[in-house]
Parts: sequence; C-alpha cells; structure tokens
Amino acid sequence: MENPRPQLSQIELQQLRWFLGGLIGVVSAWTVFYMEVDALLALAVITATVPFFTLFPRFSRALPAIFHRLAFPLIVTVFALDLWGNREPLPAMIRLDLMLLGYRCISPRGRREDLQLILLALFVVVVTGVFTVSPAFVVQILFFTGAALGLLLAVTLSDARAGGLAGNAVGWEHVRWPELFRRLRAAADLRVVALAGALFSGVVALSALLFLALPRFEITNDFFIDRLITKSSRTGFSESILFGEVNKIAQDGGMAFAVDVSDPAAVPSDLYWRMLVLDEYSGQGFRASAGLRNSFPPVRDKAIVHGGVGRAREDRTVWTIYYQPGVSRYLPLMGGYGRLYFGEPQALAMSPPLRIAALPSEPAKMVGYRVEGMDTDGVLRDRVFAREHVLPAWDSPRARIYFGHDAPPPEPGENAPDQEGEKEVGAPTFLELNGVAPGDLEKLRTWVAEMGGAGVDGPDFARRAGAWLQARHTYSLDSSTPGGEGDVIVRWMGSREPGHCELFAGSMVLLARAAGHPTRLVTGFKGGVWNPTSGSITVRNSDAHAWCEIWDESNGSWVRTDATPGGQLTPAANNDGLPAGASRMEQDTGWSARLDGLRVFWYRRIVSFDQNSQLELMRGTKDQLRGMLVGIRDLLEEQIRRLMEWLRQPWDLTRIFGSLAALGALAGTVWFWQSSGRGWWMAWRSRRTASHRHDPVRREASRWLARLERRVSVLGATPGPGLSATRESLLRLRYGARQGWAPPAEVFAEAKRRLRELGRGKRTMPADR
Amino acid sequence: MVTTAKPSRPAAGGPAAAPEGWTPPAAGCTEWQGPWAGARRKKRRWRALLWSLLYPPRGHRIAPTITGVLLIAVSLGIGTAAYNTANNILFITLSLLLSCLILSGVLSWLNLRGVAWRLHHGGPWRAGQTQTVALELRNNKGLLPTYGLWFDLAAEGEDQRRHLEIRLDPGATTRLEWPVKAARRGLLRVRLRAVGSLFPFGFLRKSVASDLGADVLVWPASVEYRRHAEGAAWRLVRSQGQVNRVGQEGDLLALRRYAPGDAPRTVHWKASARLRHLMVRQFSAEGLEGFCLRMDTDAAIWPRPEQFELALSLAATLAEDLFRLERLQAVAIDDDPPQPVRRLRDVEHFLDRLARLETAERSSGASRPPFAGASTAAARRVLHLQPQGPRGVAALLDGKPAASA
Repeated sequence: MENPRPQLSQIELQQLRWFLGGLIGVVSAWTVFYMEVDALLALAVITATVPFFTLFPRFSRALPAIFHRLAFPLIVTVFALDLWGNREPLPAMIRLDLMLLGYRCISPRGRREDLQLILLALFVVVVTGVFTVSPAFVVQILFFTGAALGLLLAVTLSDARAGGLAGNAVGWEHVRWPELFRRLRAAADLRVVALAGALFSGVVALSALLFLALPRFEITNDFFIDRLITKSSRTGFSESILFGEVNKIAQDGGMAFAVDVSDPAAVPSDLYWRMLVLDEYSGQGFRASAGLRNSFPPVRDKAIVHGGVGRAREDRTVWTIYYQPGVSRYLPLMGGYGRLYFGEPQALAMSPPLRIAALPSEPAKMVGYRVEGMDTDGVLRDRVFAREHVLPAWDSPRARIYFGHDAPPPEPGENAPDQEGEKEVGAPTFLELNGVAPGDLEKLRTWVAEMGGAGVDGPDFARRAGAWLQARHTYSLDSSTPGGEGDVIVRWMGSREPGHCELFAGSMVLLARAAGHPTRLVTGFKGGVWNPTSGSITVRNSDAHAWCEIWDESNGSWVRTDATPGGQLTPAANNDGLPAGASRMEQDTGWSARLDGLRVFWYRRIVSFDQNSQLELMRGTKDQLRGMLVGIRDLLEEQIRRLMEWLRQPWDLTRIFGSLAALGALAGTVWFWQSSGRGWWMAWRSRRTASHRHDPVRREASRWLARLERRVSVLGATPGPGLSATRESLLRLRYGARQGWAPPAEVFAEAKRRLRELGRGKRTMPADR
Repeated sequence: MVTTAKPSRPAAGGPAAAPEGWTPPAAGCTEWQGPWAGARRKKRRWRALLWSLLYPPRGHRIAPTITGVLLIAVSLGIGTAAYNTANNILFITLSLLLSCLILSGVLSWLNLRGVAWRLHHGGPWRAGQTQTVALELRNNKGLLPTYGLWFDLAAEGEDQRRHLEIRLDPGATTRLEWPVKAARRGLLRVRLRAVGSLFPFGFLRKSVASDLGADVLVWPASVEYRRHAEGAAWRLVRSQGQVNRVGQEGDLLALRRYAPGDAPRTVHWKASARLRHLMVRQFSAEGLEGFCLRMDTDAAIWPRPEQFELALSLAATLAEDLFRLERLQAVAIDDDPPQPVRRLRDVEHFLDRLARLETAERSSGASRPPFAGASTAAARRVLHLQPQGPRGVAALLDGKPAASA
C-alpha cells in the first residue's frame, strides 16, 4: 500500500540543510550588532551575500576553486592585520568569526562544514550574550538551539538517506523553494510536529531546571573575556565635560540603569544619582582637578566593598542597581553607603570623601551591584575637607563636631580615609575661579551683592542664588548663550536667555565661589520613573542632570543644591530626604515600560542568580512544601475533629435514620457503578473512540485476559471449556469487530467469576453453563 | 532493495489470539525481535524503564560521535568558563547544551522503541551463489515514525551494513535486503549483529546488540561436468528427453515381479492375483529407468579434500539434473540403504546430507558392495563417484565414466 505522506529525498534534505545553515549564519551574525566591536562591514557583507547565496545555491557551486583555496589564508591574514592594528583581541576574534561564518555560509557544505558553521555561530551568540547581558539573549539562544538542532537532524537524515555516506547529492543546488516548502509541509505529520514542539518546550523547561539546580561555586575570576576588549566612554560622564555634553546625553531615551529597592516606601521624593564630582572650572566646562583624581585609591578585586561613610547604618533598605553598559565607568549612587556588593570580585576605585565609586573602565556589559545603608538626603559630611581646608585648627571646637562625637568611628575593615589618602587630596579647587577674567569676577561679586548673598552660610546662599537665577532664566534644553567678550557663563547669567541644567549649575558654582563658598559641580541623573510591571525604578539617559554641592560650614558637609528650575535648591528647604515612597513617583506604563520590566526581571532573576539565590530558592521550595503538608495535616485534623464531634452528639432517631440513609445511598451508588454505571460509561466511551488501541472496552478485555492468563499459569490449572469460552469472548472483545461482541459488562462479569473460581483453587474449570 | 507496506490487520470479527500485526514465523524466517517490541507489559515497568535508562541493558551501547565529543568538549569549556566567572549567561548556555544531550538520548530511545525485526534467509542456499537475506522491519509505535537505523549483518565472517533510508511510519513495515554469497557448503551462520542509529542529532551512536540469527545449510556448489557417451547413460536421455515418468513410457514388454521401488501404479493386479505375488508391468523404457547415485566418503578414496569437495558438488549437480529429468531413482551415501527419490524433498534431503558430509576412515573389508540390498532395477544403474586423476572426479556407471568434472 502506498505511503500517504511523501518522504523527502536526499536532495530535498540537502536543500533544507543549506537553508537552515544560511538562516543560522545571518541571525547569529546579527547578534553582534548590539556589541560595540566595529564589525559593521563584516555584518554588511554577510547580510548582502549570505541570503543571496542561500536563495540561489547554484552560484555557490559556481564559485571558482581559487576562491576556496585563497579564502582561509586571506581570512587569517586579515585577522592578523586586524589584531596587529587594533590591539584588541576579542573584537578581532569576533570579526574573524564573522568572516569564517560568512565563508561557511556561502561555500558548499558537508557534514563537517555544517558542524563548523554551528560552532562558529554558537561562539558569536554566546560571546554577544556574555557581553550584552541582554534579555534578547534568551530569544537568540533559543532560536539558535532550535535551528541548530533542526540542521543536525537534517544532516543525520540526509546521511541515512545516502546510506551512511557523507556527501552532497548531485543537483541539489537547483532548488525551488516554494516547492520544497510544500513538500516539507506535505511530509510533516502535524501530530509529530506538535510533539516536537512539546519536546522543545521540555528542553527549555529542563534547561531552566538545570540552570536553577547547577551547583554554584566560584573557582576563580582570572579569566574573563570582557577584559579582552577595551571601551571608551561615549558620553559626557567623564572627568572633563564641556557645557552641553550632559544635555546631549539627555536627548537619548534609552535606559541608563534600573533600581530594585527592597522597600518601595523608602524611596525619597527626589532622586539624585551622583556619578561624578568636578571641581576645576575651565571656562568652557568643568573637569576633575588632579587633586580630586588622586582621591581614588585603587582597591583590590573584591565582591564586597565597605563604603564606611554611609550614615544610614540602621537603614535596612537594599538598593540593587542594574547599570547598563555604555553610560560611564562611574557608578550612580545617591550618597554615602555602608556596603557595596558585586556578584563577582570587582576592581573598584572609590573616593570616600567624594562618595564616588568608579570601575577601572567603562563596563562592556551590564553591571549589577547592591547597596546597603545608602544616604539619600543630599547631605554629605566631609571630615577631610573640613579638617584640611576649612577649619583653621584640628583641635578647634567646631572640628570636634566633625571628627568627634558626631561621626561614628569606622568599623574594622571599612575603607576609612587614612592619613595618606587625606594628604593626596591636594590643593583644593572648590573655591578657585581660574578661568574667570577680573571683569567677569567683578560682575559675579555684583550679582552676589544684589541677591544678598554676602555673609550668609552656604545653603542660604544657594537658596538666594537659585532664586536669583530662576528669576532671570527659564529652563530649556535648546539654550543659547549671547555672544561677546568674557566668560560664557557670566555672559549667560547677564542675559535673560533660557538655559539647561549645566548652565544653571555652572552659574551656581561661579556665584558661590565668588561669594567664598566652596562649591563643586556634580553630574549624574535626577529622578526616574516607577515601573509597576517590574516593581522597580527606571532611570533613563534623558534623566541626565547636573547640579551643585555647596559647603555648609555649620555642620561640615556638602549640601546638594539644584538651581535648575524644578530642582530643589537645598534639601533642607524642601524637607528633602524624607521617604516619600515609590507610589508617589511618576508611573511608567506602556510597551516600553513592559519591555524594561522584562529586562529587570531578567537581571533580577537570571543574571543575578547566584548561590544565595539558589539557597533562597531551596529554602522557599522547602517552606512551601512544608506549608502545604502542614495545611493538609491541619485540614485532616480539622475534618477528623468535626467528625468526632458529630459522632459524640446524642443519637436520636432522626440522626440514626439519616445516617443509615446516607450510607445506603453511598452503597447503592457504588453498587450501581460497579454493576451498570461503569459498563455504560465504558460503552459510551468505546462508541466515541475511533482508535482500536484506545478503545476502553478492548483495553479492559486485555486486562482481564492478562489476569486470567496469569492466574492459570500460577495455579497450573487446566482450562476447562468454560474458561476457554470466557477467554474466547474476551479475545473477541479485544480484537474482534464490534458487531460480534457479546455485551461487554456480562463478559467482564463472567471473567471475574472465573477468576474467583480459580482463586478458590479449583484446578479444573466446570463445564460451561 | 527496500519495500514498504502498511500492515495488514486481522480479519474483523474473527478471534485473533496473536497481537495485532504479529504473525508467527514462517519457514526460512526467524522470530520477531526488537529492543522493546515483543516485551510484555510488566509490573513496575516505569521503574524498570528508568533503571534501564540509567543502566542500559546488556548489549545496549551508547557512544559519542565526533559531533557528540565536540558537544561535550564545548559543554566542558563553557562550564569551566561559567564556574570561573559565575556568569549566568554561560550557565544558561551550559544548561541548554546539557538539555540537548539529554533530548538526544530520549529521542534516540524513542526512535528505537517499538521497532521489531526478523530475518528472512529463504533458501535454498548453494555454495558460490548469491542469496538474498532480507530483514523485515516493523514500527509498532502508535505515533512516532522511525528514522535512520542501520543494521549490521554478519555472514561469512564479514559485516555488511544496511541503512534504513526511508521514514518508517507508525505501523508500517519494510524490508532491507543483503546479498550474501556462501563460499563453501555446510552450515552458515547468518546473524544480525547489531542495530544502531545516529538519530536524531548525531551526538550519540546508539547500538543494540542482537543475537538474532539462523543457521542455514549451504548445499555443495554446482559444477560444470562432462557427460561421456561411453557409459551409454545419457544416450536415451538425450533422445528421449521428453520422458515424463520413469519406466512408464514405450511399449509394454512383459510382466515381472515387483521389486522395492516400483511405483504402485505399475502393479498388474490381475496377474498378481493369479500368481499370488505382486507383478508389475515392464515397459520398453524401463531399460532407461533412472539412476541410483552413490557417494562414498571413505577417506582412502578421497585423500585430497578439494577432490572430495568436487565430488560432492558433482554428486549434488547430478542429483538435481537427474531429478529434473525424472531419472533419479535412489540415492545412497556410503553403506546406508538407498533412499528412493520420489519428490523434490527427497533430493533436498540428499543435498542436505551432502552439505554436511565429511570424509571418514573406514575399516578395511567393512564395505559392502554398493546397493547390495537394492532391487535389481536400482542395482543395475548405479552412478558411483570416484576420483579421476589428481584433481578430477568421475561418476562411474558399470565401471565406465558417465560424467566427469
């Protein structure tokens, strides 16, 4: 009889292999797009050539032999030159991989070449995933796995079709894709396809289980591929910025970082994420002076860094920050902190006086870290600055406030500022106005006097200056400064032009310094939105901001002041720092928020999954199981208790008859089910079941046959005619046509009777009745 | 050649003692065999199944292929990197690779599950001739097809591999055929040595050892031989090649006494009743009655083994040719009583004996004259095989060569 479903020929399998190989090549190559390795040329070539050769494989066969002979030496030469020229091993390796991948996709492939293609594609996908740590990696790796398994299956079937001989079928390159896909569809059994889908889902589920169950312990951190790539900062969050650079960052709407907060009620009303402190005014912008840069003593690789400068020691709020690549090497923090946790040992440069922490280089992948005991009030005590540059004497009464009872002693192991570190702060620039011409300085002093800023303390001055600035200027991202001689900031202050945050912050610095208040510019992010999907705070690049910190001599601390309209001039003025709760934040909804939520979920549950998470998961599972068992036990005990109470109640006639009636009804139901109900149910299902194999009557007959046979063989009984007749009836039910069946219920009842008789030890069956 | 057919179902309405699609072994065919095909349902089968997955049954082997070794190496590399860096992306990749390996094992198991096979070795087998051994395959699964199996057949000391090149749908059967050339007479062991598969992804080479096999008897090879006119044995054979029944053609010459081996239909009942012993009709063609063929295994006669083999081949060829010409009356080996040849099975039985025959030392004087106890008719025309020269063999009739090889 002819097979109803066609079978794919070896040529068709070969064509399928070719298609899958091209698909894997293009998709895996495009994962590199999100990595900054300058592989656009290779990507463009692959995108242009591979689909063409995949769709028209006859051109692949038409490539001259010299092309194949020269391809590999040429690729290796390009790789060597690339490595020699750029001195970056990993990008060069990725470009080499792309070149090899492209060549493999356009050249004819056998089994070995298909394996090479899969390996090359796997390398690209995994390395990209490691670097980008993007949730898209899951989609990429799942697609790759499915396509690679499909390709390997096609290879295995193709080889089997060829009688185990590897090699390409003749004429496979003349392919008609619509016809091939029609044949593929005709040859596929939908049930098997569904089963394959279920199996693939099973693979994903099994992978998830393995991911959770694989024991987590760290051997060492000596090897990691992100050290093979160097990156430079793209943004304005560097040690030297020009006016307008932070504003440029704000044009980008991409996510800068996401924040998980253990207690949403602890989120302050205004979030200021400090990243950089700049002190030296250059006339065109601000930069970190040499002394400031020297305040970053390097620390060894550590997974836990003790800040030792956070005041909120009793605060148990944990902030988990998922910092995106491509922003800066400086980590966003709101102030001082107690402890900083990284998932893996991390080299970190941190300046305790500035409350700034920086990675050695801009991270090429997402960096997750957890902060405990973080100050959010915008007030930063600075004992070093107070002692070295403001206070006239170490033993003065005011100094005791800063170094004595008010400041808790550093804990053992904390990175408390040591003597050497203090000396390295160098000459202060928090008061210098080196880039300002004398004429401009005079204008500054005039404006200070005009706003009544002379002789007041820092925060008060900040409030006066901020009000003065906001009265003269409005906020605009599209700002301009009037032309003319002199300092650009001074010109802008003298005008009525609108300005952006850097102009307001820069103006505040100049005015405060002219008034004799040490001031510094701070860049970072302000604000963020609450993502209800993930229950986290999302901070985007558009939240980039610049503000100032002015020295408050009265309590020896730097106080945040934001002169930009809409900002808070001083924390104290607006009662800042008090917890406002995440519920009062702006809510981020829509598809973009959902995608961000998905990303945070990915970071939270997958990327940050470690040994502690594993232990927590195990504990949680154990607790749930225990809770479930306890619940069942309680339920049973409760039911037993109720039953006992019910039994203990006085028995009158009503109760007795009622109970007997209920028992009788129960027994009657059981009897009815056993005698007739089950038979009807089985017959009804049997009529509705088309499959011979799954017919319940046939299956039941099969079970009775097996029982009888087993009993007869155990007892060694000689089957009499009655037993033979019963067996015959059962066989008819099992294999015969429905028309020839005796009533199944009667046959099964008879089989039950025979089985009982055998059980009583009757070696010879009585004659059929 | 591979053929595929859907299975025939048992007739509806009739009792079917055997499970669906299972037929008892026919002649020239072995029992069904398969890794799990014929197994009855047992208690605790899931436990047994899990146990068998952990500890594969005897003969079940799973070895990684080059692709599998590569996968394992990649997994080890990624695992090492994952533990070095505590990077969860690498842990995800590692988990996926391990899952794929497990999936490969499960699919491989599913592919072999429910597949049964049996060997058809057919017959007759003759040395030097190519015979076809067929493997009948059946997929007893309800849903899943079976792909990419291979079967190693061992015969004549060498393995031959055949691949299942098609998809074997649920319930379908197919045949794989091997041409096997038996080099020598005697017992030949045809054995299905192993069944294997690279399905589904080529990571693992799964093979199941098989003891399915059959001993087939290989008759001596056919030889070219020369017929000699001197023996006058072939004269009438050539001229009256259309004789249908031995001794029953030509004119009726006379009546004679019955001798063992005479056909009952030749009995003349009236004459027998009159004379009170059996009398049979004697026709003119009776003089051309069949021959008796005798093979002597005395080692003294056959000092050279190759000459003995040639003699056996000549004896087998003569037996077949004479039977085809309806002129083989009886056969004998050594001093055994002659066995009358009336039907094909008698010739096959003789060839079976020739296939197993070996030279034997005989004590001097123990030999009885050939066909001493046979009828006069049979005794008259005995083809007796003797060495001829250092290599040749001759069939002597009344001391004269009637055929030689």
